[in-house]
Amino acid sequence: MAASSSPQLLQTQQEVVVGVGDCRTAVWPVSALTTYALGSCIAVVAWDWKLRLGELLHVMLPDSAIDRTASGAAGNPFLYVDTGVPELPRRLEVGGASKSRLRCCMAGGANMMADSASFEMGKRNRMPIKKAFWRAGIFVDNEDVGGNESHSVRLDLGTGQGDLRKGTAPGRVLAPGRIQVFAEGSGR
Amino acid sequence: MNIPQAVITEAMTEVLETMYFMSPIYQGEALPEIDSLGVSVWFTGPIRGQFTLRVSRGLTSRMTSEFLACEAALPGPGQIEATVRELANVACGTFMSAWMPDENFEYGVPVPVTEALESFPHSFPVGADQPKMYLCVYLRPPGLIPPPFRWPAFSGPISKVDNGGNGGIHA
Amino acid sequence: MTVLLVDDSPVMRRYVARTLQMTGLETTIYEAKNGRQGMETALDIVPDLVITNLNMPEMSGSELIEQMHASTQLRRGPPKSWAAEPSPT
Repeated sequence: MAASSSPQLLQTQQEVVVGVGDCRTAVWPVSALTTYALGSCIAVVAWDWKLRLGELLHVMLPDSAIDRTASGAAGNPFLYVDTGVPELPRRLEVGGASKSRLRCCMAGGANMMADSASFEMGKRNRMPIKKAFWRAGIFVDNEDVGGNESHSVRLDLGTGQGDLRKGTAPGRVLAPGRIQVFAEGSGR
Repeated sequence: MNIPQAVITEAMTEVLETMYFMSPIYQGEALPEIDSLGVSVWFTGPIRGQFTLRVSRGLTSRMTSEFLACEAALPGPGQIEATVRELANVACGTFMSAWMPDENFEYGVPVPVTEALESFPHSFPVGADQPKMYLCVYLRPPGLIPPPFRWPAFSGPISKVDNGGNGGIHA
Repeated sequence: MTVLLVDDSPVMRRYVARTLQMTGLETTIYEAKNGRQGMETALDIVPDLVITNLNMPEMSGSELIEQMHASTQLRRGPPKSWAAEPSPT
């Protein structure tokens, strides 16, 4: 699915499922953004705590060079780290989010191939994502990348809590909803 | 004394991935390119030695642009040299802490390498098509006096500079 | 929050300044290239936070910290408390 230049901001009360090579933006009272069966893909999650606006990107490959059209654009920018990750803060800012209020985390990047030394796709996805966030000036607050089990991730838009489930194991909290801000008058 | 390959690889990987977003691969002995930047950090403690890095010129520009989050064409020679000095500084500390975690060392300031090129026992190509980074750790024999380790101690109190403004750079 | 960065390496000052800006805190960042300049600047701006390298020319970071501790002008009482949770409502 080609990305639109302006993201559709989902606002109805429902849980939104994000598929492979997709990026969805939603605001409370939409309850959550969720993605399943990440495998070697990585889910990148961002949440503005003041607006309770969140975004979830499910990215598959590190480099879009293999998928360039004649005009130079990637067929689906959200399939690739180099084209998908820079879109994330831009789309959030269109929705009114502020970089300074964003809490971000990423999960997935499992090594699903038997011959782990040859591919390590998860690791190849992780480094470009960290680099893209550094260039965009955004912290990745938490990450759970690697292993050899498929992950599922759910972002609660009301609290900012990110739940991570690996394989069939019970879930664990990836990004706690309770975040720290500075007291009034202390410079923030 | 042999430098454990696993320790040096882990140290360099940690530094390069965290600060420069690069994933090195261990390759073994190699002769550095002539056009490369070399920096040494002396250390002293239970053992005395010199940690030396050489980085291919093309790779230094890319590393600097990643470190400073700017375009590869923008960093000047001063910024590139400073970035490689910081790489040597942090890599030396990371490696020594991993190699001898229970010992305390003192480290000198990073200085340019002036010795002639020689084969390095550890090399790390960064990406299949990129110029390479070379690494060597020397252990100097006791009795050989290293360059001055620290700047001379400062003497005298500091008072406020009465120039109407701050003495530092306002970023 | 006023922050003083003290490091003889300009690239490290830039790296740390960028990292501070990424935290989202409202910061005013001052820089100094050695301990002596750091002390002069600190007396002028009285920073909330000082981040310093240790091994530097013209006064090390350790000497800077000692001088700051000894300075009555830079002692302003107990450190501030920073943390508070936002209300989700």
